[in-house]
Amino acid sequence: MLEAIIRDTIKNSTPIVLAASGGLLTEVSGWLNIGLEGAILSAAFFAVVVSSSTGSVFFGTLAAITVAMTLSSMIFFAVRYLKANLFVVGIAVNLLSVGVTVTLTYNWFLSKGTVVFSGSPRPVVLSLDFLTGSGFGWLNGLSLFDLSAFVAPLFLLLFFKKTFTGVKLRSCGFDEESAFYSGVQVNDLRFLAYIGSGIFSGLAGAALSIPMGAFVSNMSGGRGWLALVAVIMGRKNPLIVLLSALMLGFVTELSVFLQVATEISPKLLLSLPYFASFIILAISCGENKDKRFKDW
Amino acid sequence: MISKLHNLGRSLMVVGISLIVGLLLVILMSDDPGDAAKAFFLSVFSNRFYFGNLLAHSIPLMLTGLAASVAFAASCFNLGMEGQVYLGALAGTSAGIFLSDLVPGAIGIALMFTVSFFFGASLASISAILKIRTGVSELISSLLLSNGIVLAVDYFVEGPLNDKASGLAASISLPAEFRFSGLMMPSSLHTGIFFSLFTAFLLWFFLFKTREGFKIRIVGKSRTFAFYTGLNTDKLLFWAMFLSGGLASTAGMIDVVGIHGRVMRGFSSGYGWNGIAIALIARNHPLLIIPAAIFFAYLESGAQIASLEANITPEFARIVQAVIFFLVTAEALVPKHLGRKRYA
Repeated sequence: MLEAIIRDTIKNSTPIVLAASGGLLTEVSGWLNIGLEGAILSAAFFAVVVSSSTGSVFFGTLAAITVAMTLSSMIFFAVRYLKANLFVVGIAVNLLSVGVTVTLTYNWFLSKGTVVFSGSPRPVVLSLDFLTGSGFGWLNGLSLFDLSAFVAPLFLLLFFKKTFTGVKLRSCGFDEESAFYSGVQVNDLRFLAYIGSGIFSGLAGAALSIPMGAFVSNMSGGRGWLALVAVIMGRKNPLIVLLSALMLGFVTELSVFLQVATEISPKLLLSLPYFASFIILAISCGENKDKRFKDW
Repeated sequence: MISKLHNLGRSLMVVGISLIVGLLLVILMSDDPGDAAKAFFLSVFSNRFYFGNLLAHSIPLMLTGLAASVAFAASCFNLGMEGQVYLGALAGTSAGIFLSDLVPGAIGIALMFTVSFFFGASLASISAILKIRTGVSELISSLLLSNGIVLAVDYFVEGPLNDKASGLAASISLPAEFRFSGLMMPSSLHTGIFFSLFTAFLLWFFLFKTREGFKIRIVGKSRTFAFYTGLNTDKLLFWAMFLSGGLASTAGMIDVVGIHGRVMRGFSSGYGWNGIAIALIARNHPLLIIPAAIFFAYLESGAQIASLEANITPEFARIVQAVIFFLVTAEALVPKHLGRKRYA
């Protein structure tokens, strides 16, 4: 029972952790990517479509990453070269994804709700006999996506602390002007961050749809926004981001669990993750408390 | 410095590009491109019913556009307008159901609008207070709150307030005297359009002709400057968000009072997001909101009609809308010195 809860919590938080890692990269670079939700949604759609048509999880994931990378570099180019507003362009990506996925499901599969790909391949899951009963039994049943979700924040931690590029990237977010005059190529690094954010949110989308073998309209269901909450709560520290994302994943899991177990209306329970993350966000303020203009 | 004319030209260009994208999408997706394009662009003007519906659709859009423009004028992002629309509609309708048979029609409508205004306004001011006190970005907090509220309103509409007899996911209907009367009869155009137009005028007067509006605009231009000129920036931000939330929720209420007569699940077809786009196209000018809202209503009605007459899903309007969002803030879209002699 406990094992099942831990496993489901991890599975639920996988997309959030991955997307939050992508968001963290952009947050550290100084231009927070608001379009995570849209990138996840498009990636989820193309992941399941490509993986079912080619019969390979790998190509599905690759397609998801490509799509998400395209979307996030669209944000970057619009802000960099067209001098658009970062947040507005992020919203544009979210809307674009809703429009594109719904239109394409309607045009290709003549359906607007759920499309089930019955023959689509599922990712390999871990199943090691010696783990059962050793306290790590919950590791069985996790796929490579879930494992990569745990590697991602640790990788970012190393990247930020131990590599030149990582330190330069952090300097962009800290003070872009000083970074520029110290010879850091601010915009190139930000482009790198956006490419990375695309890779992570593509993985998040693939992790969402491929294990299910189906696409549901609007299936990202606010996970991109929850990931942003995790990024804001994490205050540029990958480990805290990981923990916050796990906590938000647990709240999501709780709302699913309560729907099965209790009589409370499912609609109210579905709104639970939003309200919970709102309250968490409100409590976990702090960083800006002593500034004159609190949100700067 | 970017001139007003430059901005206006940019807006018109974005509108043009979005229409071209819409045309391309229609041609790509339809089996019979000619008919589909005609349905998308021209059918709206073909009869009174479609045209009236277009104007009816622009009524709530004007209000959400105004709501977004107040927030933008103070350089706040109110992304929670979708939730405010629903909460305002639900609160106002509940007040109307409670008040039925107690007060005459006009007073009832006024009370309903007041209740809905204050509910939406308090929802937005939660985000504003968080921004002022703790520095939580109002962008995320208002969005999370709104996503939750939309689901909670769905619960009320399907549960406690449901009209069981109708079998719809809708609340109990308002009494007939609490409704706006219709104009241009077969269509759903109603007298609420005068309310929207008047609100736009009022907001223009507030922002551009009064002292408080001027202060809000200063805060929007530069908060540091506003702070050092001695303005109470926190207070001004709060009131801008408050007003924004209130206006957004009256958009929900006006749809209920004017068209549906009850709160239905999913009655707002993205009023919140469209409102943001409208405010951006209109460059936050309350009077320019009116044509921008009508343009958006034209896009949406065109998409609806195209989906009826040609085999196209109306969601493709979202893609057109996304194109607008991509380009509308792009300052470098038109070169800055276009049409001016260079002396360098």
